[in-house]
Amino acid sequence: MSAQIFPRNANAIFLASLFGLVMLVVGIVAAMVGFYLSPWYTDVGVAKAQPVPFSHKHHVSELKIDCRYCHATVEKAATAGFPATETCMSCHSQVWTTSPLLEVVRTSYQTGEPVVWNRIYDLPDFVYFNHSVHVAKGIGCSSCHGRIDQQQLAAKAQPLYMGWCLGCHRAPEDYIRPREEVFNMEWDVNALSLAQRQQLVIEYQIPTDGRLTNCFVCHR
Amino acid sequence: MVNSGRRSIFTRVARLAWLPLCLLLVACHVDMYDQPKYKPNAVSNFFPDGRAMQPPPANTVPLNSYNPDSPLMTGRIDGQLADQLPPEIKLDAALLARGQSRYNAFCAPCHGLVGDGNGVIAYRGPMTVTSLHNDRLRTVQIGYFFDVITNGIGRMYSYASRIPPEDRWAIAAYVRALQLSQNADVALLTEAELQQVRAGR
Amino acid sequence: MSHAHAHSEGPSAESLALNHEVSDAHSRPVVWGVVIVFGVLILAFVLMGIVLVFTAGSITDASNTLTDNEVTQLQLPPAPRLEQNPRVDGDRIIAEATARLESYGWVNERAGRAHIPIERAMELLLEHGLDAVK
Repeated sequence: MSAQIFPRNANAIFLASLFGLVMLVVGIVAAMVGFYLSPWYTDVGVAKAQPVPFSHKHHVSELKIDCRYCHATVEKAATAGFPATETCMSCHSQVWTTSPLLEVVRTSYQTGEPVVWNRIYDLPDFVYFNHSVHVAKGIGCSSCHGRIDQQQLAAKAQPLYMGWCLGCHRAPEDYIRPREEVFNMEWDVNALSLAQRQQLVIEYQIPTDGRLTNCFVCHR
Repeated sequence: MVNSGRRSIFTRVARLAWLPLCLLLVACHVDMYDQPKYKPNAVSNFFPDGRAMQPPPANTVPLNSYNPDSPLMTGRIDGQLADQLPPEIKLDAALLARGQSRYNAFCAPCHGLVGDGNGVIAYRGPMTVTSLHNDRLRTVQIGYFFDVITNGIGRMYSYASRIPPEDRWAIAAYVRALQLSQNADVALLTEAELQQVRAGR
Repeated sequence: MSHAHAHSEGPSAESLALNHEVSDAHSRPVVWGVVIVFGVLILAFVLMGIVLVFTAGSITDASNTLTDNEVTQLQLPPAPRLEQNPRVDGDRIIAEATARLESYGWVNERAGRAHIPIERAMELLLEHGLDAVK
């Protein structure tokens, strides 16, 4: 026979390999993007263990405690204000006084050593987020923190990608609510029509000329 | 000719095939994400107590016209509980609205939205919470409420670290409004309102 | 690769003449394979969505809560009892307090004292000063 070095299915294998190669590259890229967007990378919805198993669901949804009772500086400062041990003890010196779960809190109150909690929302250090201005301009807690009143252990509700920040900075009228409803966890943005929300944007003097998307708004 | 042209393109591309390997040189730096600076509530290994947020040293006061002994800051005039708002605080609708929002956030969990001591926490907890609607508290000086919020009383802790003095006065004024709402002299009401009172609506 | 070629043994005469295989692989099974994989994926997503819609519980679910009527019938001991549904209790306390702060009514009819809505009380307080309470 003549020099037939390729078996007769070589063409088929070659085509299949080409197809496979393209699919492999597409698959790797898709997998990387998917991983980048997934909770494995972003931690969205992944509850972290804490020194005290504090439940927002219990304290907010069932006990009706206002956000500001613990996060007292949220209306005035960049940070919402992490409660001091004294804040916990203003109730837990009376209720659940012998609970072993709260031993960490009691020890902290007696010794003055702070309880070291695990951070849930960790912005990069080159981002300067300010809670007070968002609260004052009618952006509700749940817009970024999700339904924290339904979470036992706290988890991130948003991946905090810059595109997500810009989504609101480009179109605040899609997320704004009346100031009185900022701490209302059950508020639905669609309770107001788009026209009413646009009116709020004007009333709260939120710039709509694109200034909100300037780099220096968040990066200094 | 066609064959050699094809080959030269192929070789050219093949020569550049090492370029993707450059991606291996890319490293993930987190220096910018975690800069060597202190943010609120961070851990410090510089200060001996491990806190980046250092409590102010004892006897530290803010700048400007701050006077720790003024009625605004103590609720007292010459050592006696103040029976009126300090001169810096004006009784107006904004003050009462501010007081209402503060009261509902900080006081209502125990004292109840109405102030009758039946808040959600009081309902659950093994404790008796004082009602604001009794003759003693209706006739006490307004500085008393400021004093209690500032220093705590009985089992109630101090709220001074969470409620600034101006807001404490707003709450004290709102407590007066609450007391009035639950024990209003009908002489103050209009005839139409009297009808509603009689109807219980 | 496919059964269509199974009956022809060895390379064709043309292939031998050109020294390489000239017949193409069948692309149809490959395309079908891809289509079926994506179809199954989409179907699985839709199915999971339907399952979640029907099985995920609501936070306001009060089905495990006894009504006041049932509490009376069961002759449970007086309060405080173990809470059946803290959220419902909290909602009730807030609703009762809000209703009280928005209504008129007698507190002490003989002494001429009434409870009035808080908004009205704030107006009266501004009108008559802080001592209107006494």
